[in-house]
Amino acid sequence: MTDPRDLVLSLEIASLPSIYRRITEVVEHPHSTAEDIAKVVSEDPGLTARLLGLVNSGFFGLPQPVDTVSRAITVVGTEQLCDLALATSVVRSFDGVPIELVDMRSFWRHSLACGVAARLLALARQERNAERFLVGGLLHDIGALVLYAKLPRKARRLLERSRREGLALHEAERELLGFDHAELGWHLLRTWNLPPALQQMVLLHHRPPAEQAYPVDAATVHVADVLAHALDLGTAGEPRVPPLAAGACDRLGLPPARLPGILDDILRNFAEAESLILGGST
Amino acid sequence: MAPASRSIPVSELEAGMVAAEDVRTPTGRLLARAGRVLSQREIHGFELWGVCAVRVEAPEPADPEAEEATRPALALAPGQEEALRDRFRHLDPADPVVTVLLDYCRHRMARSGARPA
Repeated sequence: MTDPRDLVLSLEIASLPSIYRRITEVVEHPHSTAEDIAKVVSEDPGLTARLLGLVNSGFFGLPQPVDTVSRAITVVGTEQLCDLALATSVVRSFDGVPIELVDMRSFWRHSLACGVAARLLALARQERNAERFLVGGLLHDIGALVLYAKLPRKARRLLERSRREGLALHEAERELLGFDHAELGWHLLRTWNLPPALQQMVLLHHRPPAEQAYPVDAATVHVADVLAHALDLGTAGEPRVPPLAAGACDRLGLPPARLPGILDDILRNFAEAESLILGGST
Repeated sequence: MAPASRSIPVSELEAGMVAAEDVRTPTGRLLARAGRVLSQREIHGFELWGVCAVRVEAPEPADPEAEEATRPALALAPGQEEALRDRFRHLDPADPVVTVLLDYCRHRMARSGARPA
């Protein structure tokens, strides 16, 4: 039986872009200032442009344009800016890995749609840092890329079986492999040493949130994944809308009547974020 | 049998609606008991206390099929309705969340006219 940890460790690119590491180091330094963080971010002109684009987009709806990174940090917060930097970095994490089973643009479009949806669901719940959910959504299916890169033949069989038999992809994965892409993604995030809250969002996004102890963060990504699939904005491989766990929306305090407004916002935010976060190269 | 109920945003509440469950603030403070006929003043108070939505008794039976029958029929292109239902086959069509989702997607497909199947 294949061990999911071995798959992750055998990945040629098991690291995040170094710029994110450097930003995290300076953010975590007790004496660092907004200027210090801005200096590190400015080393990467592409990242600077993407961050300023996002901060000035409809995501934040700021009354005045923000034209420097240090000002952006003051306006949106250090932690939030760090998460936005991670969001715009992770979509480049698999550049150079040969993957033929899925269209990478379509993969990242679905991931971004889930991230945008999770962020809006978090904002509706008045979460303190909604940007963390953008990252959680962007990363929720990243384990599927590990599967496509390391076990392409089995992954192809799984995709074909899911399409042919109408079985949810993560269920087919568990049957054949004993684990699913959510668990693989969790191992990758652990290897990357990303925060435990993000790890939980990824690990549990297909598990039914029946128990009280189920983290509401994971329920947010679970529902966001369903909304992103329903809107048909790209796919990570799963051809259908995945099962929605009973009570997941109740767990978020989300009445069905609010959904159309949230879906409108997802489409609007996605249209803005797609060029800013995915760019034209992915 | 308990009366049918539906959850609606506070901004859409109207005086005279009947709370189907206790209305509480996000921190748990009781604002109105189940069965209370809501006044405009109470509804305003819910907004001030940060209540997002309230479950109220529904005057009509919350029957998705009956609701479906009252909606204007949507003209989806041939095969689109089947494609939509196949995409949603893992979800329970009786779940109110799924009903809203399907309805939204159906309208979106009808508006765009040529969504991919």
